[in-house]
Order: sequence, then structure tokens, then C-alpha cells
Amino acid sequence: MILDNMILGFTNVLHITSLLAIVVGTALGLFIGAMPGLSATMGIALLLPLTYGMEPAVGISMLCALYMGAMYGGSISAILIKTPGTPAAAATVMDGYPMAQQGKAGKALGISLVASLIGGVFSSIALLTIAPVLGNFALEFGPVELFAVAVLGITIIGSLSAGSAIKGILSGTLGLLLAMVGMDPITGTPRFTFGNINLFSGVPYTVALIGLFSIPQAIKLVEKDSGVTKIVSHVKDRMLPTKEEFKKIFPTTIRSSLIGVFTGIIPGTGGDTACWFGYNEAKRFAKDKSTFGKGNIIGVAASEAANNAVVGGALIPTITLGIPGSSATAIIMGGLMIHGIMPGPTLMTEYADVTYTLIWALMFSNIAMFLLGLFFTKAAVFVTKISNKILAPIIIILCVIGSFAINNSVFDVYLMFAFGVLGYFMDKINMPTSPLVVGLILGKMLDTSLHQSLLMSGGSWLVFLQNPISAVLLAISLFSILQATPLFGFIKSKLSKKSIQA
Amino acid sequence: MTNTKKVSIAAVLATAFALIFLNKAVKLPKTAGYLPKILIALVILLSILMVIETHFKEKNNVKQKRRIDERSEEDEDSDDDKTPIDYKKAFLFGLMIAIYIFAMKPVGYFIVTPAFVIIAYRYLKSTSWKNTIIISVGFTLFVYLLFVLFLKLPVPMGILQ
Repeated sequence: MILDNMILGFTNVLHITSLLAIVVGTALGLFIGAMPGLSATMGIALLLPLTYGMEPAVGISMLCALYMGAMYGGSISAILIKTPGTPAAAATVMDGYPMAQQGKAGKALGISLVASLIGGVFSSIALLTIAPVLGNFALEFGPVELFAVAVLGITIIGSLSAGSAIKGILSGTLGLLLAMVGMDPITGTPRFTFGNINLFSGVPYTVALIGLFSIPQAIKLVEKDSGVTKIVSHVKDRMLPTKEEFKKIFPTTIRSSLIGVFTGIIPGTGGDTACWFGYNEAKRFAKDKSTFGKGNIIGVAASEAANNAVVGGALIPTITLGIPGSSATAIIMGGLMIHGIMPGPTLMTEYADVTYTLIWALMFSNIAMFLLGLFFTKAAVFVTKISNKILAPIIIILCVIGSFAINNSVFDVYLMFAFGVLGYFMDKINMPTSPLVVGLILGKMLDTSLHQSLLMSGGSWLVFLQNPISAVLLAISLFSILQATPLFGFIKSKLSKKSIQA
Repeated sequence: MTNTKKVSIAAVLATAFALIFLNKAVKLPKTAGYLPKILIALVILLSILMVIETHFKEKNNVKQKRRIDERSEEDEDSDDDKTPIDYKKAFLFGLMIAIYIFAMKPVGYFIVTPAFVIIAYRYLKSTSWKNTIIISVGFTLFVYLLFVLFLKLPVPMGILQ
């Protein structure tokens, strides 16, 4: 069955429309990633409306290809102008920029491209092998397990988000509360609609995430743009690494790929965490640590392999459980839902054609990324020069038309703006917005599974502890909250003191 | 404004939001209001905890964030942290967006969009007049071709209808 679906997906992806979507998505990702003002997440959010008219598999493949392309694109500006194009390329600056200063910009970009390719292929293989197995396992899940999965998703993304765990969980809870707006799935009672008919079907979360991820960024581009002309290093040398260089970076890229896949699987942690994790581990394993930060090719490879490997990793929980592994995959989930496909365990069976096409599309996007990167990186250098003040109003225009296009509703545009303002102020107090989006996504699943579980148990909450899978998942949720509390930090510092004394 | 003050305002707003929802939740049937009531209680509790945490963090000047988180956060803003925030510019740009959005339906998308680009570019001193006109017209045309002709989206035409 799984093999049949894999073959089906493979033949689907070879269709000219799919291949074209992959190439266009990757190219857009490469350019969007190269622009410091635009992140992969925002790029996917802005491209989402264009996929409405496409076949689900084609549209979603395009979004995934954009995600993959942007992960490499981010390194272009990191290397050439010392500004990561996406937060996921932050660690690439450390060794990439010194290389560019030494006149080896082409080499740095080539190392980044090869490492991105290895990381991407590694994560695509992980997705292709882990997702069907986990999907099969998740098919056995009933409402009790699904409730625990939703709780786990929200607590992990909340507690592992950058900054304070309390703020992360509060953001997630606010998202869950906003997900309660609309018709109650069990009784059909309208909740918190305040008499507005537009809210009867709930808060459209694609509208919310376009606002949350794009408006604050556009305003930030304007409020902090210093107007200083960016100094761009020239790419004059050869890009592809030599055989010796490839041998040198290979073990690091494999290690970083593993790190990237696992970081991607954990909700709440994405490319920005993975790149530093990969970089630090490469430094720890290196014989000569002093060369790091001075233009070491291993440093560039470590960061770039890790951030591309995140893509496949983050798609694993998104596809199999319906829990987005990163904010970018949350939008991809939104894309699926617009096409009437509910992410979760049934995705691997009922919508196997779409899912397996998407998995293969990710694999093919690596090839597209490599070829486009090889031939168009020099062209992408020009977009790094585009001023933030030019980008900001264009982002707004795309947000407006994109949020309108979902339901052809002007109300959605107002709602998008309201979420944008909310996101801007959340940013100002360092409250992460990703948990809010995930809360909005998981809210309905949490609500329905809770009601069904309590109906089955006759109102007893013990049902969640009596079920072994749900008990384990809830225990992990509890641990993810506890590990972020000061008490855990206190115990950890005590234990490390003891081990030093011993 | 100190962090504690900023966070306190956010906590008050989150609590007010939760209380508005509570006012509606109490009137709901038991099953429909069950989860919302739990979430409302959590929002209020977490808002209080957020203020306490920020207060102590600020007081002790203790950074409890893990190293990876800290570094990634710093690097995300590394290029713009050195320049001060121009709140007036941010507010006026926000106001322009609001006017653009609210004028879209009565006036029409294809009138307000180029107008928004021209006004925003002029105010932000983004580029020359020539480029401003080219970008505003070019981008509006691009949206028209893509969304109206290709995707057949019924974009609000306003007075052009």
C-alpha cells in the first residue's frame, strides 16, 4: 500500500505542471530568501493566494519548494552583505561573510549550495521513510490520543519558542481561545461571534497568519531602515567545491542534516535554532576551533545543511499528526485546509495522492534548488540590494489581495490588519506569534476531541491518564512546561555543580 | 517605557479580552462553554504570571533564555538594533495601511493601490518619482493580470464599477 502510494506520488510529480510549480516555487524561494526583508514564512504566506486556483498537490508542492529554496537563498545575503536573508541563515554569517571578505564569496555560496542540497535530500529521505510509518501509527489514534497530541503541540511550541515560555504558552492559549469563535462543533451553538455573520465559520487562520507574519515585518522594515547603502561583495571565484573540500565538509553536513531533521520535527523549533545547533556542534567536533568565525568552510556547511534539513523534518508532524513543525509548515497546513484537506492521520491514506506528490516534490525541489542556485545565484545578488522602503508597501499590497482572495471578503482584510497590529505589539513585548497561529489551528481539534473523549468516559478526565499513548504524550507536555520553569533551572544548576565537584 | 510596564499593559488587555469572552461564555450551554472557560482562566493566570516573571527578570537582570534562543533572537534583529525605532514613521505607515484598507471597498482596489504606493514611497523617500510611478502602475497591473484575469477574483472595483 505504502509502496503503491509512493509510486503514485512519483508519477504525479513527473507531470509537467508539477515540475513547473517546483521550479517556479524554488526560484521564488531563492529570491525571497535572498532579500533580507522577506523571510521564508512570509514568502509562503504571500504566495498562498496564488495556489488557490491550482490542483492541491501542485499548489502545495510549490509552497514546499519555496520553503526549500528560501533556506538556501537566505545564505546569499548572509555571505555577501553580512545580513541573513532569513533568520535560519543567521549562523551562516559567522564564516560566510569572512570568506566573502577574503575574496571567496563564490566558494562560500558554493559550499552553502552543496550543503543545502545534502541537508535537503537527507530531510526528504527522512520524510519519505518516517512519515508513512508514523502516519500508520497515528491512524490508530482516537479522540483521547488526538486530544493529547493537540495539548502536546501547543505546549511544546509555546515552551520552546524563543524567549519566555510563559509568553509562548499565553500566545498559544490566546490562539486556542480565538479558535473557539464560530459554531461549536458538537452543539452547533454560535460562540463569541458578537452577532457578526462573518465570524460564524470561525476565524480564518490563513487570514490571521498573513496578518501576523507580514504586517509587523513590513512596519519593522520602515521603522528601522537606516537608509545606509548595503555594501555587496562580488562573486568572482568558482562556486563548486573541490573534491578535497567536499570530503572535508561531508561528515559535518551529515551531522547537521540529522540535527536539522530532529529540530524540524519538534514543534516550535525551526531553521533559526537548527542553524546555530548545527554550527555549534561542528565547532565542538572540530580539531582546530580557532578557524571558526574566520572563514571556515565547515562553519558555512554546518549551518546551511541544518536549515535545509529542517524543511523535511518540520513536515513530518505536519503531515502525520496535523501539528505544524514550524511557522512555515503552519502556513502550508493552511494551504491544505483551503483545498478542503484536513491535515492529520488521514492525510497518508485518504489524500495519499496529494501527500506523496508533496513528499516527492520536496525531493525534486532539491535538484531544482541546486541547478537554479548554480546558475542564478549571481542574479540573486541584485535583489539583496533592494531597499526595505521599497519592499514594505509591496508586502502590504500582497497581504491585502491575499487575505481578500481566500473568501472574497473585505471583512477578512480588516481581520488580517487587526491580526497584523496584534502581531506588531506582540513583537514589541517579545511574545512569539507562532504559538498563536498553532493554537488557532489546533483549537477545533482540541475542542472536538475533548468533547468526544469525555462523552466516551462518561465525563471522567481520568480517561486521558488511563490511555497509555495519551498518558505519555501528556507527560511529555508537562515536562516541556516544567523544563522552562525557574525550578527546573535551579535543579539543573544544582546537578551540574554536583557533577563538577565529583 | 520599562519592560514591566509594557508587559503589564499587555496583560491588562489580554485579561480584558478574556473577560469579554467570559461574559459570553457564561451564557453558553454547558458543553459549548466548557473548554472556552478553561482557556479564559488560563489566559488570566498566564497574564499575571507574565507580569511577575518580567518584573523579576528586570529586577534581577537575570537572563534565563537558553543560549541558542538568545543568539538566534539577537541575530534576527542584529542589523537594525543599532538604529533607533522611528515610532512616528511606524504609526504613520500603519495609518496609511488602515486608510488603504478601509478605502478599498468604497473607492476601488485599482485606485487606492497605486495611490497607496505613491503616497507611501513619497513619505518614506523610497525612490525617485519616476521609479515610484513605474512601480505603482506596474505592480497594480501585475495584480490585475494575475488576480482578475488569471485567477478570476472579484476584486472590489468601487467607483470604477
